[in-house]
Amino acid sequence: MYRPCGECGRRATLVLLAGSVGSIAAAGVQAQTVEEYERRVAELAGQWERAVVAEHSVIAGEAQRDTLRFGTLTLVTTPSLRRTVESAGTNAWDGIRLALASDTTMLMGKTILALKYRTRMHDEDEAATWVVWVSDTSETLARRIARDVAQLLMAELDEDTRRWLGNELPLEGAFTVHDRALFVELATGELKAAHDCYSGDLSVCGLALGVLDAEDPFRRLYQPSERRELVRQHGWVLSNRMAPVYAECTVSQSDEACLEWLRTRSSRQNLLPLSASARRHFAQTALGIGGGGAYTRLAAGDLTPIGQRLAAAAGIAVDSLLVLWHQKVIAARPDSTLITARLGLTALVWIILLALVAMRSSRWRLD
Amino acid sequence: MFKAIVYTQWRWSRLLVLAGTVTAFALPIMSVQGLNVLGEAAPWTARDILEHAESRSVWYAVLAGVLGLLLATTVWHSDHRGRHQYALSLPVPRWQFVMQRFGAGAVLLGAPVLAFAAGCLLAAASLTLPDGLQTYPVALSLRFALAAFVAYGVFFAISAATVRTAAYVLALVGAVLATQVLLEAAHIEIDLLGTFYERASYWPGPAEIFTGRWTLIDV
Repeated sequence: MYRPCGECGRRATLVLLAGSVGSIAAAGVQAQTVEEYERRVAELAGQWERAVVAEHSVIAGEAQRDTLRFGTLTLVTTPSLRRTVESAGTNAWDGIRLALASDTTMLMGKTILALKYRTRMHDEDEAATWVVWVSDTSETLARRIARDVAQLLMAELDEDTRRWLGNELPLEGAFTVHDRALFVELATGELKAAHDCYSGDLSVCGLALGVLDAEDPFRRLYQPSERRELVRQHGWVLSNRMAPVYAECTVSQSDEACLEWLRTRSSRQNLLPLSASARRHFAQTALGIGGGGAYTRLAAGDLTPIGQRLAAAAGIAVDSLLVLWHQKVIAARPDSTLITARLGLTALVWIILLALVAMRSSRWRLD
Repeated sequence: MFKAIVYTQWRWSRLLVLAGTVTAFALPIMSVQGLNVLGEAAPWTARDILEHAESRSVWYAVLAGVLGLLLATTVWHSDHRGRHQYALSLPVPRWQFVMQRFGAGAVLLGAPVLAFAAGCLLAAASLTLPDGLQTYPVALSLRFALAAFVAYGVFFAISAATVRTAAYVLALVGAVLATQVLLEAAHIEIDLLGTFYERASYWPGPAEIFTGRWTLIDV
C-alpha cells in the first residue's frame, strides 16, 4: 500500500536532479565525438524525464482530492484549491448550463481535474488537466473551466469537424467569436470572396465557409491571381507528381494548372477564403439558434457534410441559416470611435478648466 | 467691446487664420487623393484603403494642435508687448477681459475648424468606396474642433501666465527629463516619462482627444 511521504518525493527528485547534474559534468569531461555527445544528451534527457515524472507522481499521490459537482459537471481538485475552484465552477456552470441546455448530459461521466501542478500521470479518461496559477482569479478559472468543457465536447466530434472548427468548439465563455470581429473580417477582407460575401452573395458565403458545395468551388471563390497566390502559399505540401503543375501555375502563370493543383488537395479547410474564426462564428450561430440538443445533433452523424450537420444542429435549412448568419454579421457594424460622449465631455471639461486657469493667472490677481 | 477685441485680434492674426483655414480645408481632400480607385485595372482592397487613410490621419491631429498653439500665442502677443497696460486700463473686471480674449480667439479658431469640416464633407462626397467602408466627415470634424480648442485652451492658459509661472512649468519638465536620465543611468526601472505620457493621453487626460484613430474612412 502506498503511504504518502511529504519529503520523500522531493528528496528523490533532488537526488535524481543531482545525479543528472553530475552526469552532465562527467559527460563534459569524457565525451570526444559528436555521436557520443548526442548519446549522452539522449541519456540525460531520459533521466530528466524520469525525474520529472517521479516528482509529479509523488505530488499527485500525496494530494487528497476533493470532488465538486455542478449539475453534470464534475471538477476534481485539491483541498487547498477547493474554495477558488468552487467559486469559479459556480460561475462557469451558470454560463455552461445556459449555453448547453439539455446538452449538459454530454458532460456526464467526464471529469475535469484542477491541480496546482501539471502532472503527466493523470488518467487519460479524466480528459483534461489544468493548472491553477497562484494569480488566477475566479473569473479566469471560470473561463478555463468553460474552455475545458468546450474541449470535452469537441472530443465528441469527428476529425473533419474538429479541423473545420480550427479545433475550438464555440461555447459561451470559451472560443466564441464576436460578431463585430467577423464584420471587420468580411468588410476589410482582401479576397474577393470575403467581399462578395459581405455584399450579400450567400452562395459565396456558403462556399467560403465550406458549408455548401459546388462543382468547381475554387473557380468560383478565387480570382486567377488569388488562386496563384494560394498555390504559392501552400506549395510546401508539394509532391513530386505535382511539381510540374506547381511550376506551371506559379512560374508560367497558367490558371488551369493552379486549378488542377487546388483540386488535388484532399483537405480543403486551409484553402477556404474565410478564416477558422468565421467558421466558428457560423457554428456558434447555428448552435445558438438550435437551443437545447444542438450540440448533440452536431455530434451525431459522422459522415454527414458539415453544412448539413450544422443545419441539423440549428434545426433549419443551411440556406436559412446562412441568411440569419449574414444578417447577424452585417448588423454588427462597429460604432465609430472617432467621437464618443465621454471623449467629447472630457475635452469640453478641459477647455473650461483651462479657461478658468487662465483667469486665475497671477498676472490678473492684482485687485 | 467683444466686437472690438475680435476685430483687433483678427488684425493681428489674420494671416495665420487665413493660412490655417486654407490648410484645414485642403488637408482632408489631399489625404484621400488617389483613393478613388474603383474601376481601375488593379483596384485597391478595403484594407489598402484603410491603411492609406490611417497613415495620413496623423496630420489632422497635428494641424489641430498647431492651430490651437499659434492662435493662443498670437492672442496674447500684443498684451505682452504693451506690458498689459491696455487691459489694466479697461473699466471691466479682469476675468471678463480674459474671457473676452478667450472667446475672441475661439471665434477666430472657428474659421479653420469650419473649413476642415467643409473639406471633410467634400472629400467624403468625392469618394466611391467599396461596400463595407464608409466615411465619417461629421464625427472627424467634431473631433478636430474639440482637439483644436483643447490645444488652444492649454496654450492660452500658458500664455496668460507670468514669465515666472512659465519658468516653473519649464523647470518641472526639465526636472522630469533630468530625473529620467539619472534613473536610467542608475538602471532603476521607473518610467517617469511614460507615466506622464499615459496620464496625459488616457482618460481623463487632456491629450486623450489627440490619441486613437482619426480616420475619415472606416468600416
